[in-house]
Amino acid sequence: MKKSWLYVSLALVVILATLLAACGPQPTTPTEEGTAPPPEEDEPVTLRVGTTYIWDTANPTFGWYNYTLRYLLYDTLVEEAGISDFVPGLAEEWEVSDDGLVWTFKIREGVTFHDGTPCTAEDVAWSLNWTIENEIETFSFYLYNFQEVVALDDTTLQVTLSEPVGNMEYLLMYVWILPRSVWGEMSYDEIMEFEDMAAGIGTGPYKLVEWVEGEYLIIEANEDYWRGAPAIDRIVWQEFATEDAAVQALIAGEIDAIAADTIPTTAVQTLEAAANIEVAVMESTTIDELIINSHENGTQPESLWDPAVRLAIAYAIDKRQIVNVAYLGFAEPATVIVPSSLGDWHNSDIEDIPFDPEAGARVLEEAGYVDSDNDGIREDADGNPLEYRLYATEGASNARILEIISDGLAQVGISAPPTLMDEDSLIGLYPAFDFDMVYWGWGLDPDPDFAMLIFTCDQREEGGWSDSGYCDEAFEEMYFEQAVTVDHEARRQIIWEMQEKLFEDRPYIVLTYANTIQAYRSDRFTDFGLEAGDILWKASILPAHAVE
Amino acid sequence: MEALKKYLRKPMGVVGAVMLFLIVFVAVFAPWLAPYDPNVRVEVEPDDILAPPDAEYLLGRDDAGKDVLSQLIYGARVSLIVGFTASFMSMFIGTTVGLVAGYFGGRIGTLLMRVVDFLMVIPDLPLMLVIIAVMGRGLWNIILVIGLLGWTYTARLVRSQVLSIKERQFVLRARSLGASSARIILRHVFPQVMPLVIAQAVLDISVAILAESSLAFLGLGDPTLISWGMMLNFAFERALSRQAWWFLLPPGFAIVWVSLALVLIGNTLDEIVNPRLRTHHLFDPRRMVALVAGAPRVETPAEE
Repeated sequence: MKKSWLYVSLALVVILATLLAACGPQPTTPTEEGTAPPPEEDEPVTLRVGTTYIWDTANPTFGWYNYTLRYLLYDTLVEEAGISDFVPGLAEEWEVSDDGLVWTFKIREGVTFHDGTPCTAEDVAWSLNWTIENEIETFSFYLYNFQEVVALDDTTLQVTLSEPVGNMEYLLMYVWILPRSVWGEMSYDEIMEFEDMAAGIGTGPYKLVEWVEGEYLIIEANEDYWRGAPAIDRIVWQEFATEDAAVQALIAGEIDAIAADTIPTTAVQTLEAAANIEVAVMESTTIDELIINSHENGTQPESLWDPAVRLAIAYAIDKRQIVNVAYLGFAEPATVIVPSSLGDWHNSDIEDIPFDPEAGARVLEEAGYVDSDNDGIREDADGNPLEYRLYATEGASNARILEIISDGLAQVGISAPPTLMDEDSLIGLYPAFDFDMVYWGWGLDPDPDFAMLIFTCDQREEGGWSDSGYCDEAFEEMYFEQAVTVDHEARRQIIWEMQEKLFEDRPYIVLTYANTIQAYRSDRFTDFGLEAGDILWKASILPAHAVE
Repeated sequence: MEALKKYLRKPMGVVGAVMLFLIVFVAVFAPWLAPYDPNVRVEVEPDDILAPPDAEYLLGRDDAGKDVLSQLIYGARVSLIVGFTASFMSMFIGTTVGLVAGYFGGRIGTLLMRVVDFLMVIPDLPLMLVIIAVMGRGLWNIILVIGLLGWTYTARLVRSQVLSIKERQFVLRARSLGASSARIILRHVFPQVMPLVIAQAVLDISVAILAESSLAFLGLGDPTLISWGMMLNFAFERALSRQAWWFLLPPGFAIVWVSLALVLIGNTLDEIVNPRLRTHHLFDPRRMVALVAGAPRVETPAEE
């Protein structure tokens, strides 16, 4: 009995708490309470950023999170100002020999690392060679083609390739130049264990100062940055338990900006109505897809290989509804794997399979899948019902998406009850490809190469990137052909053909191209370069400054 | 009949019964009461998501653009099904264990009660989370987990009663007449503990409903079913930033409503049937002298 009273009082507390939460500032009546005090003279300008997760480690050789932050610490030879908009970084200019094999880069003069050591062409060459020799997990694969890297003098770097490439700028924008003074003496094991703040030393506009795991991270302006010291003196990342907490903190003026990917679409209306907050919705390279198990050793039922079944699944998915419910309209229904934000790499000729459950049912009917026992689920010729496992990671929005997919599939006669699981469990299914369909989303690189790479056969090995298990000889050939095609137009054609091939084989049914939503306090900061797609991206943060 | 009269004299019990009746009514007649069928898909536009209450949608719309009121009404079904089934399960197991442990005592009794102690010291909710995460989500898994973990208190209660009942004369008489243990337990002991068990089971229903809601709220509910906990789960993740109170508050109130109703009923029943809650004769306000002199009884509320 005592226990039940305890439960009831707990429930009452929860109700009270939600009441209080619900009585917070209403979106329709912006208040003045969030107005920030004017910054005082001489005080360092600090930008406070809200996020739900700062990063996994300060060590860039195996840290997969928060590339935006890492780009503020390190430089690359080439930088990206907007999606696929490449600009010079540490390399001022570059040229390529006629055979496409020898690239010569002119390296900026007078650049120094945060610890004061100079960064000459010699150091850049050391860093690239070190990356290749140690097979640095996070970015060495971009240099797969590099045969020899040498510094001809203090400002000239020469790279010899084994095969010509058509996307050199893209390959280099992911390779950070790290100092020999920090990493030079380390063995491979020592590199993988290094967690000191010195791991943040680079030539970038900000220095890594302090990181308290789970709480905050501070970076400070590099006064000697080669573009000149940035106007914002200090950036503090602050970790919040939920996205909503970060949103409320922004409205209350406790933080100045929210990292991209941290603003729930349901909060946009609230943020737009709040005073002194600027919300920017931009195209991004993020795609969401339904992965259909295409590994020949996977545990999926035989019927899932049938192109007719896959076509019927495509007919059954209401992408518009997913966009409206899960993204509240802040996304586009997708067609192929390369999103429209990647410019002409996106195959715009392909017309999507419309949401049409009747057509889907007809396809199955014609392929011989009929509902012989009248339970609403079709069976194949051997009487096996079309029942598939449909997985996604936990989260209310994912639950809504699976609901829509599952509803649609039921309409064509396929049973796929939604199952949500934590990320580790889902990834745990991968070595054995023990699933039928998985809903997943990720952000593409600005060049289509990586998106295509994950469908090659080698990527199915342990540690590879394949999430569908797809392997096709014709596709493989096209992949290796595009990799060595220097001419943009010729390469574009191959990339388009590859997208078409994937569209027809359907290892992925690409669902949406999401937008990024960014928000900042317009009463405190201005002039962000938002077209970079991420408010904290180097190209966005450098022109930004405090409001006078 | 006597018990019913006693019950009806307790205002809290009557209030609880009326509250529960309303919920049961709503659950049974959900298809007729709900303005929309929440299981039917609706085409939505972004503006429909979390739209505030209006004449068409009395409690507004949820984060998938569906009517909140209809889901609230249908949600009562899951709560009541889980609550009643799980509590019946724990009642059954708890009573059996309690009867066996109490009547036979000895090694079996000790062993069973150590199992009870063991289960009692493990916090229920984390254990349920782990089991559901392993077994998978589904209505039956949830009912099983709640039912299989919720019987310990009943077992203790029943055992302590049986310990006293089995020493009474009618039990001795039955035994001396050659009745088997099974017959004694079923015919003579069980009817004596039955009222207590029922009172406890009613309280268990509210515990089960709250447990189901907690699991669903934490994202471990059956994703294909509409329940109040599931509504809270979606509301908490997607409606807070919109301050969509119309999606957040109703399921919360509904949970409190039904738990309160059951606790009121359960406590009232308990007061009537549990001997430990009755006044001891030493607490009788009348003086012994007066008793001997045949003074009139003074009604005390606790005596009922």
